[in-house]
Amino acid sequence: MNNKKHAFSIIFSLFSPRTHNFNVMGKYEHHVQFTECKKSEEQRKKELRAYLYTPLLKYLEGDALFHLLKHHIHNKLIVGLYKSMQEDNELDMYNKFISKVAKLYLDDAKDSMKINAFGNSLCADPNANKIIKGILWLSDEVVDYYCDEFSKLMVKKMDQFLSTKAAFVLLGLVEKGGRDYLLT
Amino acid sequence: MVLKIADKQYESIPMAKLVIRLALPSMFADEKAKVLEYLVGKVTEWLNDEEGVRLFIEVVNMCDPKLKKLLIRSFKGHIGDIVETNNQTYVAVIKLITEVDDTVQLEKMLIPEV
Repeated sequence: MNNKKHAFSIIFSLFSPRTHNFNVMGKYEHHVQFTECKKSEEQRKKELRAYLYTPLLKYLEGDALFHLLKHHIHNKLIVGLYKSMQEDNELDMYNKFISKVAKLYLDDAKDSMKINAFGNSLCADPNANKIIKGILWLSDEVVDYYCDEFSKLMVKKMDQFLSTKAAFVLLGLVEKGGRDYLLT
Repeated sequence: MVLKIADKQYESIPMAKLVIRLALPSMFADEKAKVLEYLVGKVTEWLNDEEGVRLFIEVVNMCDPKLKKLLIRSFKGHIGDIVETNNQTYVAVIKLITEVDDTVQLEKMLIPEV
């Protein structure tokens, strides 16, 4: 367990600023004053992240992404990952990744509804639903498509969304402006 | 006093680490260089507890790129052990990978192990 926890902390430090709650370096030193470096901290992290994107995305194929999303701390890596992709101008990778995550939530919601287990879906999970809410708030064409799809699903199965913690996702969409779908 | 700690090889004692950490910033340049070189050479021996991590952070802050390269080399092959230990040593790995200019060396030596 420690093995995973510490490895996560090491990788997560490259995808978050020192001041971030989950970046352990922030507890040891907020600002570095003496280090002799030519490049800025952000530049150094950006260069290292470039090596990590491919292996991380490979790792996140399959079940790993699902389990990571449900973990209350490890799911912050997903947020760090897509935000870093955007900052590093890896836009193609960024679009594919957020599309993959949103699709996983949508498919999972549809599948779990079919077997009457929506309460156990990612959308209804108290940890995972924060991630999809954050993604649906992004301004992006790919995200807009998923906002539409989620809104359609919510209109169809409103009772299931309202009676579970997936209501949090529904609220996110209403706040973003998906209201039109919900009213018609 | 710090030179004496180094001479007697007491650097793995937690209190000695604290003394070195507090004394390093105010040492003369030539003495500091000697102590840094000595500590970098034996990093795997004294980096085993929280005080060691705090000293390591101070050492990295004061190291020049040449010494940082030596630090990376001494970590090679130890990342697996560091990650598995039940203490804060992994913070030293974070410090190292976020404070070195030579990202190519890091990519070759440390990142694959992580």
